Amino acid sequence: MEAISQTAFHVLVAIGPEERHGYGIMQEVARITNGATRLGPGGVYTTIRRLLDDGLIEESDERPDRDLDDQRRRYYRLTGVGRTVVAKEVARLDSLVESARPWAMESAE
Amino acid sequence: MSERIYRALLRLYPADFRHRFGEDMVQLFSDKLRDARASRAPWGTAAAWLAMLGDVATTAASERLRRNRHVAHSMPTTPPIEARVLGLAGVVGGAVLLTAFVIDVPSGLNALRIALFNFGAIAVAIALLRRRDQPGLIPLIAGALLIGVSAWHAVMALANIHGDVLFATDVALWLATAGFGVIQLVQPGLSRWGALALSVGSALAVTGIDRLGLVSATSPTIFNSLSQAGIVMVGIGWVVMGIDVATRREVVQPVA
Repeated sequence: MEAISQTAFHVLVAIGPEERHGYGIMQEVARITNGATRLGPGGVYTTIRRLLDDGLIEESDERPDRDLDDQRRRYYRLTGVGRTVVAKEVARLDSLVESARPWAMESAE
Repeated sequence: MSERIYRALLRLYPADFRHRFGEDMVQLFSDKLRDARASRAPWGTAAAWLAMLGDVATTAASERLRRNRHVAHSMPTTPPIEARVLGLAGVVGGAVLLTAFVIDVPSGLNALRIALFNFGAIAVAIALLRRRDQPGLIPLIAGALLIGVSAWHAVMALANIHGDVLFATDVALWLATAGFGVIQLVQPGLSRWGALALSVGSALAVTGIDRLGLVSATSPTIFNSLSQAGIVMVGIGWVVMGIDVATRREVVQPVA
């Protein structure tokens, strides 16, 4: 499997432990990146297509909130492989941040 | 109106992607545009449209690139050895047909020359029937017809049979070759030039059959020249088709 892209990682984190549809993913990506990443429909669904093909996410039949549910929407959730990929990426970023923290924060101050 | 424009823009994406996610994307587009209008920000809708145009341009291009790479990976690097041998037979058949216009073929070898030409046509037809990018009943019927008529024509030549049966076989051969050429013109995966030469050449060559009365040995008509030109075109057509099936990769659509 190819290295995961930043957008793909954002989408995986946006889906998280829940089930989300395209619009929910788009809003969540904007929220967790403080608005730095704003995906359009093409960005969302080309990433979803790639993650589905790689087996990192799957379509979900479950509806988290039936009152708010729109039957036309398709929901997605992480697979076991997807969770593993997120965990590895988090560990990699964590290690990177730990390496930079001692000096990078001093420079910023 | 906005939704209709966005639907039209979706045609920039590959068809398989569009069928899979098109409706979801239209819905997401509508949601995003609704949010932009609700925000009441100055130029909000225009900014949303601008962002979405950029989104379509970049992601449609990347999807098309990905699909092209996928198609390229699904192709065999070279045609199989059987296709190469059958294509070579087609080249030999076409070249042998053309030899009569370059050298005087001894009468004793003429039957062999015609049979080799027929075997070349059969070989190319078999090679095309084996290709996965030639699906459908019509190419199958056209190929089978050409193989049958060519085989029978070769038998007639080698057995030195003349008369009404040879006349009917000659007509059937040129018509089957013309039909085969026309069908191949609309098939994917091959050069059109060989098929065009076969279809036009055969239609011209049929006028050279003595019994039709269009040509004359004593006072040549225009059909003498046209039918000869047609036979040359058929020879060139089989050479081109032979090279094509021996060298050209199959165009196999990947499974979405």
